[in-house]
Amino acid sequence: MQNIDPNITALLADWQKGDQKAVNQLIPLVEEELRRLARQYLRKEMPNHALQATELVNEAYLRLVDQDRTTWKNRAHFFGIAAQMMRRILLDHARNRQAAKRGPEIKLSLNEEIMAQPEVNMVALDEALKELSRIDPRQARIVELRFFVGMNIEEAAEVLQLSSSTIKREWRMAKAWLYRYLNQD
Amino acid sequence: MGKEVKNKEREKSTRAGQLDRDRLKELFAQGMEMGPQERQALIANEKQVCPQIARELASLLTAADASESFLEEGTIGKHLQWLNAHNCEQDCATIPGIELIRCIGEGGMGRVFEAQQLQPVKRRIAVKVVKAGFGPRAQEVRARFESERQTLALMNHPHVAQIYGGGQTESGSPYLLMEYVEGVPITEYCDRHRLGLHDRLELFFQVCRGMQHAHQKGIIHRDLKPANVLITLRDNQPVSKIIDFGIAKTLGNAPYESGPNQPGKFFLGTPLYMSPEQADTDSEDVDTRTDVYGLGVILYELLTGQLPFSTDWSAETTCQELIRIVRNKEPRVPTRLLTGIEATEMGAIAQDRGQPTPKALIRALQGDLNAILVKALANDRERRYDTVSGLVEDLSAHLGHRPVLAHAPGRTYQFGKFMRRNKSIIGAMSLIIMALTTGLAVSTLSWWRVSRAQHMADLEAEKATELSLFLINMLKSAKSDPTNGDIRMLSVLQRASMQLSLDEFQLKPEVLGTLHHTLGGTYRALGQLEQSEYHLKRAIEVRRERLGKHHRETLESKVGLGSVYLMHGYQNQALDLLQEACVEAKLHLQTDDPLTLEATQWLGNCYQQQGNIFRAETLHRQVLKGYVDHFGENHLHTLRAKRILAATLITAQQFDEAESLLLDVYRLEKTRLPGDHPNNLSSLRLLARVAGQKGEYARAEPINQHLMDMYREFYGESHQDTLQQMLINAQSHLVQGRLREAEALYKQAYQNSLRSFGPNHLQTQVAAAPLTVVWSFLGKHAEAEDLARDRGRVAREAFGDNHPLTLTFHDALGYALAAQGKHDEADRVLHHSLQAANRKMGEENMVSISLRDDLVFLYLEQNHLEKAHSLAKENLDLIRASHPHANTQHLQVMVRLADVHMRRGDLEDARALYEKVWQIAQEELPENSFFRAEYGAKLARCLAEQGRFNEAEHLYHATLPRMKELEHPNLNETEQEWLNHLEGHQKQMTIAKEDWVPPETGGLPAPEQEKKVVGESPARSVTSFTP
Repeated sequence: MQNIDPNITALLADWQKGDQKAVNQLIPLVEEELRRLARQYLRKEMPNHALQATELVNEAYLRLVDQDRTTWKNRAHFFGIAAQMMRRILLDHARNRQAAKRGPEIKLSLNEEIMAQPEVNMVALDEALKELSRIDPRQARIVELRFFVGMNIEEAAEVLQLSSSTIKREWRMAKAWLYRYLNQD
Repeated sequence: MGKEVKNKEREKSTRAGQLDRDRLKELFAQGMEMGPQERQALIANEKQVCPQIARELASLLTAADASESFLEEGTIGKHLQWLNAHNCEQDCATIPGIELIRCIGEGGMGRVFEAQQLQPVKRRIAVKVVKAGFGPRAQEVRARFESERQTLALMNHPHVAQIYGGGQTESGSPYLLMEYVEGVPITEYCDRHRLGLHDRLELFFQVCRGMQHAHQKGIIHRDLKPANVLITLRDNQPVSKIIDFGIAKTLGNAPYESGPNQPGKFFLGTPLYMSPEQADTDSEDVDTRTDVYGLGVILYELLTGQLPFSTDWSAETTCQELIRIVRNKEPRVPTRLLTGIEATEMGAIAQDRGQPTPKALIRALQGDLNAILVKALANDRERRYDTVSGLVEDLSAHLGHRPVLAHAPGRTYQFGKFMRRNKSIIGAMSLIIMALTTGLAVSTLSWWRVSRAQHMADLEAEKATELSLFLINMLKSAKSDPTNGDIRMLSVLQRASMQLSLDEFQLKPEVLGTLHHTLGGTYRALGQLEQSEYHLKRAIEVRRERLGKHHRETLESKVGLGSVYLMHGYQNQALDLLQEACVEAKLHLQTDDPLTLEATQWLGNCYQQQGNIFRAETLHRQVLKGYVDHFGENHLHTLRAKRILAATLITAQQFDEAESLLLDVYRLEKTRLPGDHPNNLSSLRLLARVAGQKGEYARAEPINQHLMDMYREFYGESHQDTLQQMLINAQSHLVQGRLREAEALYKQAYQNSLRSFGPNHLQTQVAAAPLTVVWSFLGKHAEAEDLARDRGRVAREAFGDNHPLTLTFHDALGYALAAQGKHDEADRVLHHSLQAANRKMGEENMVSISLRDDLVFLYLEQNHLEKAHSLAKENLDLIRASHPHANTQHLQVMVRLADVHMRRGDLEDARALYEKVWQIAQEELPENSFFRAEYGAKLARCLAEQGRFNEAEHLYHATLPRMKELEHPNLNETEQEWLNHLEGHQKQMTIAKEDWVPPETGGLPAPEQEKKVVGESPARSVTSFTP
């Protein structure tokens, strides 16, 4: 089932070397795989299995990129662009959901605990992130990496070429900022 | 001064609306490291410098405390799932061959779309998508939906909306494709067209015919109301279509709602059309009479324009009160209800029904129609029509001016031929419906077990002529996706079984017998022996009375019961019954009747279990020949008979024949059955067992490994079968002395069992027992003691003092105590256990042998050399007699006796035994075996003691590196011994140079105390743990 695409590996390397066109070609390929995987993951429906976005992106990476011909740095950067895509995918999902709502919302007697609205409203979060990136683009980027692909501090540090301690501080503050933004009336 | 300038600059920039973000970040980072008081100080300090930053800082620090877990791991996954579960429309777009047009309904359970089907036929359809949610519940919803879908697809009737198909969307929501009915509710249609009573009744007949069809297919609607009965025009003629069968209700009831007293329920339905039994607490208890009630309400409304209780409630009536009314009250007689209605409204009602005046309407209803409605709507369903046919008969009798049965009280209640013919079917049907519409998942059952049970029941169902359709339907709908572990077979059976006990008197005896037999067989296949026993006994009774003692079917149930007794361990009862059945079968059936063969096979199994291997073998050979003659060489029955014979041959130690039979069977079955089929797995298990028993571990192991992989893949890590295979593999490591591997697997099996089954489950105990043994081999005596003590207590409480499991733990405990110098307690435990084991299981039993061996070890520790000597000799004699093949345990017992010889100074005797053991070990144990290394070291020591230094040196050199590699618990002492010998030898050589000493006296026997240090390695016995 591996559909390693030599093209993608090459594009990733090109991009690493500074070829910005490579990213433009790369993005639709990766995004398609991510969307496909997102659907597939959800279908598996493993009980007690909290899906981690990292697993999803990692899976996409393993499927698309030739492991023998790429470096760890490439991986980090792959994750870097995947973060933006995940943000977009989730936002699309959320928007579609809102668009799909038609007529009066019938209060369901379905199990509330399962169906309860998750704590993050994706549309609002996206808006907040846009605002944050106006004030502090670096923090917004860190949120993308940490939240949307579940990167740990070290990985995010590698992608952004910053120290781990900086990432940690920035992440903490970005979270506080977003939290405040989303919870003010 | 500089500071002031800086401040001014900052003020400038803040005035421009620009916060100094770097400074804020720095302060924020500081603040995050501080306690509350320090933070206050930090903020207060900053206020002096720049109030804006201070304010922002204070606000962010507060938010930081609250946002500790915000956006952290896991959130995103939940979010994705949630989104997808709601993203219905987009999801539906993935259904192949379908183009959605619009959403025509949304409810608690999902949505309905109008759609265009492009393939296989171009037509307008309705797509119903159910929200399955996620998690284990969703699996259940899906399994249910799947079975409902299959059942519903059986319907094909002009007055029922056709189901075309269904499946799951990409995100796993179940959907149904059905006929799109463009129509209006029946009441609305009739009123709009001002249909007269006669026309209304004609339309209502259509509805009844649709419902009769559904009931014949074993389907109950459960939610009949005008909104679910649509009238559409075909060639300008009104045609009724029933829509929305069962599904929403079935799915709506069990998983998400707890009962009708939950207010949530009424978002899914209205109590106005609900039957009393549905309004009652046990809302799942519905049958065909529930639909009769639903039809009655529709008819009531069609004829009177009112609902049965419409004068009993008003707009202020709460749902609860409404339910109480429905549950407790008899409906008003229609004409009586109508007389209470206001004149103008009454006039309109009458005119809509083609009646010139209210009086005319009342006259038309009086008599038959009044009586029919009252009977259809009786609060107690015993008093209702039990079938739709009954209702139809009465209505057509009314139209044809024949007597109406609803007037029954007083008159003889004569069943028409139709009714009588269908009675048993209706009874059986309701039993199946009940079973189907409810039921919970049986998650512990593996797919194959259930499928085996279903296969069994399928076979039986095919035999039952009258019932076959219903049984097959029941089974079909109980089947679910093989990848779905949640199967509701068992609960289907339970409902069926319960209903059967209610319907007994209604069913024809033949049918009743078959049902009992089928249920019994199905329960047996699922391992539910008590229920199985009950039903098979009933089947025998009913069949004997109806068909006679010697009838084939009576015998069939007898054989079934015999097999259940055997599986239950009631060997004597099984033997009696099976012998009897065999004789009767031979007397009254054709010689090659498969039932005779089956009876003989079970009798053979019975002998085998009793240890009468010779007879078992004879019978199984006979059976095999019968199958070959009757079915041919390659029939699956024949192959099964071969496998059973092979299992007997293994017990009879005729390994070669067993193996060739098994290879034969495996090869043939593999091509015809899927790889994970239980037949293939059991052939493989037997093949592994043959190899293991022949001591050919190298051949057994890959098979066992393969089996374990299969189980892991198909059943998961914690399934009972997986765990058992794990134990088998671990045991294979253990007997070969690969202790680390054994330890790892046992540990895993133990922990998995603990997690899945809890500390008191037999499975957990069975995994713990060998772990204590491995630990003691590895010198982990304290750990072994703790576990053995704890598990032993549990075993004692569960099974009593003398159970093999209890004794095994006590054995391990005794050894661990002895090895740690706690001699008194060890003595008590081992003696007591040995006595019990001798008494309970015989002296030659492996547990007894192991206990004796450990007692010898204790005697050695206590320096009771004579006692040790006689007991060790006795033990070796016993094991030689009972286990002529020198297995690992055998070797241990030999080594123990050799140890005793050593300690007594009988070096020649010791060496003879050690050499023998060493020779076998080299042939049979792998190089990385702990035991092999240990035996080598022991022989080396003995040789050294005897002064055969060169041989000893050679052996030490071969053994010590291996021990080092294994981190063998005896490594240090062996090394020390070797150094001592080496030193002694060198000293001797020096002496020899000065003063020649003949070799015989050069043994330098070490004093008793010193030997003890060198002492007994924890050479424990290996007990076979057959899980």
